[in-house]
Amino acid sequence: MRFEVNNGSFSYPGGRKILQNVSFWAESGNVVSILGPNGVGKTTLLKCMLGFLRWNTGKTMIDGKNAQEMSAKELWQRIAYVPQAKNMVFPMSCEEMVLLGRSAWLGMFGVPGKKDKEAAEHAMELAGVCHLRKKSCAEISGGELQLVLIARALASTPSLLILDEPETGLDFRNQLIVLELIERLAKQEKISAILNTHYPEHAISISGNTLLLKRSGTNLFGPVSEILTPSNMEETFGVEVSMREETIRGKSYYSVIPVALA
Amino acid sequence: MENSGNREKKFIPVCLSLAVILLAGALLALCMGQYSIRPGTVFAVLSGNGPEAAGQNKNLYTVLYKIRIPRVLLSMLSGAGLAAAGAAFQSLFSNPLATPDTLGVANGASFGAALGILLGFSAAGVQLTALLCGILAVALVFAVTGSGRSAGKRPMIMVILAGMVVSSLFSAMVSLIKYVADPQDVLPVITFWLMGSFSGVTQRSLTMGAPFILFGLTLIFLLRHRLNALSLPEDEARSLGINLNLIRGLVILTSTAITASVVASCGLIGWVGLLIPHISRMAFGNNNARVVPSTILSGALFMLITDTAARCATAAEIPVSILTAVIGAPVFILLLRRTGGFRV
Repeated sequence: MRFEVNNGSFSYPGGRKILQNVSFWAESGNVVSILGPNGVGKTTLLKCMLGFLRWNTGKTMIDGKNAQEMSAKELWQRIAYVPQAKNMVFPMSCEEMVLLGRSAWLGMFGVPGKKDKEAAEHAMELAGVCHLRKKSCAEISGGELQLVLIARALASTPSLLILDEPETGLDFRNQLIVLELIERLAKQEKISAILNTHYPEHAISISGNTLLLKRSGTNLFGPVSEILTPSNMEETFGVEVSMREETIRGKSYYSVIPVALA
Repeated sequence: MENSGNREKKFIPVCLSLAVILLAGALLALCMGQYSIRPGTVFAVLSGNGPEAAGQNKNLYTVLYKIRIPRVLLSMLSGAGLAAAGAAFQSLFSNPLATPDTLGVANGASFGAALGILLGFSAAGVQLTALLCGILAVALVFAVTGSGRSAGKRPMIMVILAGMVVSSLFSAMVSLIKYVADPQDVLPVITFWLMGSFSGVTQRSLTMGAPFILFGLTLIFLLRHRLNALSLPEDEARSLGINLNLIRGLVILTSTAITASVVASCGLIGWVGLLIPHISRMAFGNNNARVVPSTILSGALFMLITDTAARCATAAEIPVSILTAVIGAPVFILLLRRTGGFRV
């Protein structure tokens, strides 16, 4: 599946222009990360991509078809949204939460059947949360809840996951678990991912292409190594950075060190 | 604390027992009252043997058919309806404090009933005005939130606020009617009616009220799996691929139909819509696939018991809404203490 945003622009009614001429794409098995300073419109971009907000100009295309013209069912069987883990008013068990991901396959009065339960089971296996099935979503840790939400998204057997800061607020270990899961899903299951992140290192480690939203309202899209350069980062975040590459057990890692306010 | 696996396992047995108890309770309630009837006679009359089965006493047949059966049926339907509407509204607004009257339906319908009584309408006329005013109240909520900057997309908190405003507006108008009503004969009727009681239930009020309640109950039951998605934050619910606006509209429509017709046929009955869904949640967790069916059964049972107590406990009828609070509050507190509140 090819997911594409063409020349998207958006501003809230009466407000200034937030997103201007944003264009990027993701092919099957790609991981694309979106970076930018607070308030630049990363969450707004996500909402526009998903159709929660309407583009003023431009469009979201899925396999060459305008997403706005697709039915809710058609759209949400192909892409799935992973929100940030939040407290729930009426917490259900993890298993029930994952099964909710099948909603797009059910009719208005539909009852989840055998096929839906199998899909939910498979999603829990992929995300590695089978052991949590009977636990309440209110009783598990933030990292576990994030994985459960990914499993819920996977239950709809999507071709693309759109994740809102999936690793924010998690500890080192859980960050790694979430990132490795996203990477593995892309490589092995060909489920592409588009994610917002605040960590340049994470973008470098898992994504091929990256979209950098600048405070000036312009943006850059391309291979991570070309976009996330010290000079672009300084311009975008107003921070002087130094980047180091290190090879550990044959694999190279980047660290991004914030040196001073620019 | 029990784990959710146990709760799933005991769901079907508990619901079956509730259904059996409900049926037995209904038969028992038909026997009880000022005019007690032997179970054998009730069975004979119910099995279609007609007035002859009642033997020499024709009054038995009249009591059973004209008074007791409509009353028992409507009390069960009202309990089930209010409880299910409460559960649906709690999911819709993602708020454990939501009740069927959150959008002002109950106060709207009360105003309609008070107006009908003041103008000297017949019982059916009062029921109809109450029903219409209840629907009018919700329509007003939508008119208030539907216009302006956020047209087309109503934040749920705005809907709740508008509901509170409309609700207090109608409550003030009820007070106005009580103020101008004749304190000798009209005012007591309005006051007693507003307290909520099934004492005035007739075959006619049953046939007028029951279809709306049954329609609402059926729709909420069918939507039970969607209610889970509805209780999530708006964007998440939308991303699950459900038609959010349509389902929200349906839930509001059905709950309005239920609440307006309950208030129209038997006055204001509080507590059931809040109490029963939470009891179900404490017993079976928050999954509406279990909450809705168990809420319907226990709502019906709770109302059957309180109404039977209301008419049999003393020689004079006790308004049932007083009993729902008197019985409901301690039961609720007891459950809260025993289960440690509601979670999965």
